[in-house]
Amino acid sequence: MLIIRPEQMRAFMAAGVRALRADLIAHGHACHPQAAALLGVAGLVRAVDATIDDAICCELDGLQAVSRLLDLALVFGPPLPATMRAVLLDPGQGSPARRLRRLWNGALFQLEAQA
Amino acid sequence: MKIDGAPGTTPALARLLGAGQASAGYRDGGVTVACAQPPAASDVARPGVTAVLWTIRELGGGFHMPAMRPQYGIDACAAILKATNADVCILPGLTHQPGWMPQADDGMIRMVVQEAGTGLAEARRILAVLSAADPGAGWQLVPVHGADDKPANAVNQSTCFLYKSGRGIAAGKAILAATDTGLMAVLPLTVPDRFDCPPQVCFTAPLAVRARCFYASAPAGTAPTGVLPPDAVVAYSVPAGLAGNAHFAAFRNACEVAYAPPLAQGSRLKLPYWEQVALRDPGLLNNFMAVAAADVLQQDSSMHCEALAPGVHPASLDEVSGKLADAVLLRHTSTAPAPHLAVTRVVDLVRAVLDPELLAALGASDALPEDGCAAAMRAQHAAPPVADQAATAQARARNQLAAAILFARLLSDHWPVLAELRLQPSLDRDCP
Repeated sequence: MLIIRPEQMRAFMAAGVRALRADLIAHGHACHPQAAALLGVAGLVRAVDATIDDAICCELDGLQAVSRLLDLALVFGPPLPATMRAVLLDPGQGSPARRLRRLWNGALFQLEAQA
Repeated sequence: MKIDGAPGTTPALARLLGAGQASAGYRDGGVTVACAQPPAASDVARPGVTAVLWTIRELGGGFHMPAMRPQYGIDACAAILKATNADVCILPGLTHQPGWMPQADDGMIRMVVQEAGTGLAEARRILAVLSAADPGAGWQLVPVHGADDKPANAVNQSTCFLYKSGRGIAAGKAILAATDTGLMAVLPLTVPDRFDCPPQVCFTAPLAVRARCFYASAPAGTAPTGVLPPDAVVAYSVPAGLAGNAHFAAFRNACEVAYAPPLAQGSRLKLPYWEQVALRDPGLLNNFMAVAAADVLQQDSSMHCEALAPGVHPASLDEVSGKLADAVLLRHTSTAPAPHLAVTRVVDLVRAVLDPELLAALGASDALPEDGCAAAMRAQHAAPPVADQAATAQARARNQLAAAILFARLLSDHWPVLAELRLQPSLDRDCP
């Protein structure tokens, strides 16, 4: 029987998230052209790398989830505000995917209230 | 209904929404973008489950409405619900009035307070009319009971559900769930395979539509009987409107609903111009409403003075305005595939009560299912007289619309909101 420890799972997950780097940079350019122009190529790459670190820290994986984290970072930062990171790291808020969903919807509610 | 002060948007909101739409098509696992797949032909043929949210103003009595409405009012409500062709109706805001009942007590008559679910009784009257008008639909009413098995209420309001059992939909017992923003009525439904919808789906709405509660503690008999299900269609209604409403913001967070852009149409009629003036400046004007409630031309000539701005009244259907006060949202916190909720439109009560031959003259360019469906009931209403002093077609249109708005407000100032629940088209199919 093959036993995979949580540490090993996290390592696999981290490798998977790091493999999304090129896709995330493309997403940043496509969906946030003004922010990307403002940051420059190097700045956007730094924002993507910080997002990847945040995603690994918060146990988020998959292109969709990490893209949403990058979206939040580029709209409210970069970097991702500490209050948002605190929500993502709070185990009382459910699974990592649920925490991200709460954060995403909360961000939209907040922006709608400002409109 | 157009919205007064329609909600705007910010560049950041537009950017985040656009990015969210783009990433919704991403396929996890490293492939960049999945092709946008049209739904399969079999899914298109299967209908979704259509729900209508309608807060009928003070159904069961209140400050403005009698506990028992005239039969034409009930008939009109039933005709409008039938015209929506909805499978599920969510009726929040039923009033629950305590009444005095005489009881014999050892040769004496004692008056005792008896809980009277007047709103529920009115909902049953609507059900009876609906069942008679649409016998094949198998309309059923599901009330909400508390832990003591009595009709549940909060702030003397309650919520009930109607659904069509004739199409194979079956309902379980409605439960009460507690959230941070109050009690929620939850209706679990089992949906047959002929619908493009999850087989188990819940519809939920707050037990009371008013945000403010004047009770220090919740009245007895409202203990929750369950918890909010992980996935549900969540209805919300509030008289004050949704824009900038702090309770709505807290409600959305408490129910963990997905963000949905606000509707482009209003769902609650605003007060007619002179009624607004009378409320704003009670010392300035006598209330004319008892004299000529629907005759805006006479109101303008009698009530206007130089200190006031001239009266503003809609002259076409496009000019009928109000605010957005109702929402149908989706809660999805489970790992099951997310269904798709499309809030389709607001049912136009003014068009429903207008004579169909007047619609074109008042600017209706297309036909809606509810057009004229309650016009016959309006004819039974003893409308206040309207003097035939209109010189121009536009002036006549103002009075015709004012009369229709008056009757529509007698039914409800909240208009029904229609939404359709479908299964999300799968992105796992191969790209062509």
